[in-house]
Amino acid sequence: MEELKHSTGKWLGAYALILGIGYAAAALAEATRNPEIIPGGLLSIAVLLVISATYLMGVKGLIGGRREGLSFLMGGLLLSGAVGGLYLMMAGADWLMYLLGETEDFAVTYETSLVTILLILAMPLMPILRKMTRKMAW
Amino acid sequence: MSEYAENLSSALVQRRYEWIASTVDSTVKKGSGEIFTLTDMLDQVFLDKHLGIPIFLTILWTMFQFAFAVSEPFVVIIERVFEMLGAWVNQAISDPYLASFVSVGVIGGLGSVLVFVPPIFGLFLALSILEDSGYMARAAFVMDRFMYRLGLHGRSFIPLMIGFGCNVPAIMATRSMDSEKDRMITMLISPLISCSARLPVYVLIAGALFGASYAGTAVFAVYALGIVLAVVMALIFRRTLFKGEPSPFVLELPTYAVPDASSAILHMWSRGRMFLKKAGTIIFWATIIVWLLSVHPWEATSGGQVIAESYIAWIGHAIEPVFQPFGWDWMAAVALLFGLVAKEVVVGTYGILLGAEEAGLGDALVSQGLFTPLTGFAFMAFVLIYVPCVAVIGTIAKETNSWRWPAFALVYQTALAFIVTGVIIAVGRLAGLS
Repeated sequence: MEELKHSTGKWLGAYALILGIGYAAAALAEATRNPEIIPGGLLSIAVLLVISATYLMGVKGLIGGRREGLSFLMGGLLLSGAVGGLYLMMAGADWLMYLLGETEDFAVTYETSLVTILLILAMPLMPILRKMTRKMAW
Repeated sequence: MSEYAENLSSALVQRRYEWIASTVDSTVKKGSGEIFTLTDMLDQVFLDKHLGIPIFLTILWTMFQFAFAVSEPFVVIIERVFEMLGAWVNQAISDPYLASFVSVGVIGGLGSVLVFVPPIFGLFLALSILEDSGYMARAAFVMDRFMYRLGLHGRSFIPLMIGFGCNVPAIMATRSMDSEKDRMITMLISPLISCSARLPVYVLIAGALFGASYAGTAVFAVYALGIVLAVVMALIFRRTLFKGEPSPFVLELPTYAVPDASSAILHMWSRGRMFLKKAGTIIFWATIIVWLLSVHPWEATSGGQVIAESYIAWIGHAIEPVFQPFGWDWMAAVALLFGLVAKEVVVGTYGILLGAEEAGLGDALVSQGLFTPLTGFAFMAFVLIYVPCVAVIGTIAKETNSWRWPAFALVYQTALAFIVTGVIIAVGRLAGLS
C-alpha cells in the first residue's frame, strides 16, 4: 500500500466525517420524516447508524495519518455500496410495479432518498482507495 | 468414552496451535501493527469488537430486503402468467371435472407456490455472494463469543445460516462439527431457523394482514422469533440432554474475494432447483390430493363449488377444535395438516380452498375474515415452529442413524409451537388485540 501522507489523511478524514454525519442525519431524517414507519423502519434507521459509525470510527485514524483509518473508510464504502445499491434496486422495483400497474404513481424525487445521494457522494472515494491499495494482495 | 475422545481431540488441537504459535513467534518477524493485505484491512472493520455484530446484522437486513422487496415485481409477473393460464384453461376445456383439475388443482395449487420463486432465488443469490466473498466465515467468527455464551459452538453458526435457505443441507452441514454434543444440539435447533419453504406462508399472511409498510417487519419478526427460540432451546438442551462446555472453535478464515457472477448464479441455481424439484414432486402431489378432497363428493360439492360439503371440510372440522383457541378455522387446520408434507403446501391448500391464485389469495383471506393481525401472526409463528417437514425428519434420522431423535424433534417442536402460539395469542389479547 502506498504511504498515507498526512495531508491526504486529513482530507480523507474530513471526507469520512462528512459521510458519517451524513448517514447519521439520514437516520434522523428517516425517523422524523416518517414517524409512522417506526417500528417498521427501525431496522433501516439502525442500518444507517451502523454505516455512520463505521465512517466515524475511521476519522481519528485518518486525521492522524494512520492507515488503520483507511480500513474503516473502506468498510464504510462497502456498506454504502451494499445499502445504497439496495435502495436503488428497490426504486427500480417500484418503477417496475408502476409499469405493471400495481402502484398508482412513481416519482423519481420521492424514490431518491438521502441514502442514494450519500452513495453518490461516497463514489469518488472508490478510485482513490483503489489507487492506494492497488499493489496490495487480497 | 465419546467424552474422553472429545477432550483428547480438543487437547490435541490446543497443543497443535500452541506449537504453531511458538514456532511463528520464533521464526516470523512482523512490523508493529502493520497491515499487510486487503483481507487484513477489511477484517479490522468486519471483525471489530464493537462493529462486528452490528455490521453482520446490517448485512443480514440488506440480504432479506434484497430478497423480498426487490423481487416483488417479478412475483407479480408470475402471478399474472398463472392467472392468464387459469383463465385460458377454463375457456379451452369444456369438461368441468378436467377444467377444475387443471385450473384449480394444478394451476391454482402449484401456481400459488411457484409465485415465490423470485424471493427464494433472491435469498439464495444473496447467500451465495456472501459465501463466495469470504464473509460467511467471518460471520461465524464474529458470532462465536455470543454463541459460546449461549452454549453453542461457533461452527454451529454456518449450518444455522444455511438453514435460512433449507434445513436439510443445514442439518447435513453439521457433519463438519467435531463434538457429537455440539452437533446434536445444532441439528435439533436447525428446524427452528426459518427456511425458504415457510417464506410463501409469511409473505401471504403478512402481505394480506399487515400492509406494505409493516409486512417486512412482520416477516423479520418471525425470523427473529425463530432465532430466539433456537437460542433458548440450545440453552435448554445444553443444560439438560447434552451437558458440558462447547468444544473450542478453530476456524481458518479464508481471504476475501470479489464474488464471481457466474459462480454465484450457479450456486443459487443448484440450491434453487431443489425448490423447483420439490414443487414438481411433493408439492404437486400434495396439492392434487388437496384438490381431490376438496371437490369430492362431486355432486355434493356441485363440482367443487361448495367446499363446505367436501371431504376436506369434514377433515378440517374434525381437527378444528385443536386450533380453535387460537382463533383459526377449519381451513387453517387443513392447511397445517397438509403442511406436514412441505410447508409450501399450506399456501397451495389455501389456493385451492379459496379458489384464488396468490394475487387474490391475500384479499380472499382478508375479505373472508379468516385472520386478524394477531391470529395471522400467531399462525405464522405456528408454521415456523411446528413439526419439521418430511425431508428434515428423514435427514435427522439419516444423520443420527436413529428414529429416536427425529421423533424427539417432532414432539418437542409441536409442543413448543402450541406453547409459543398460545403465549402470542394470550399476550395479544391482554394488550387488547382481537
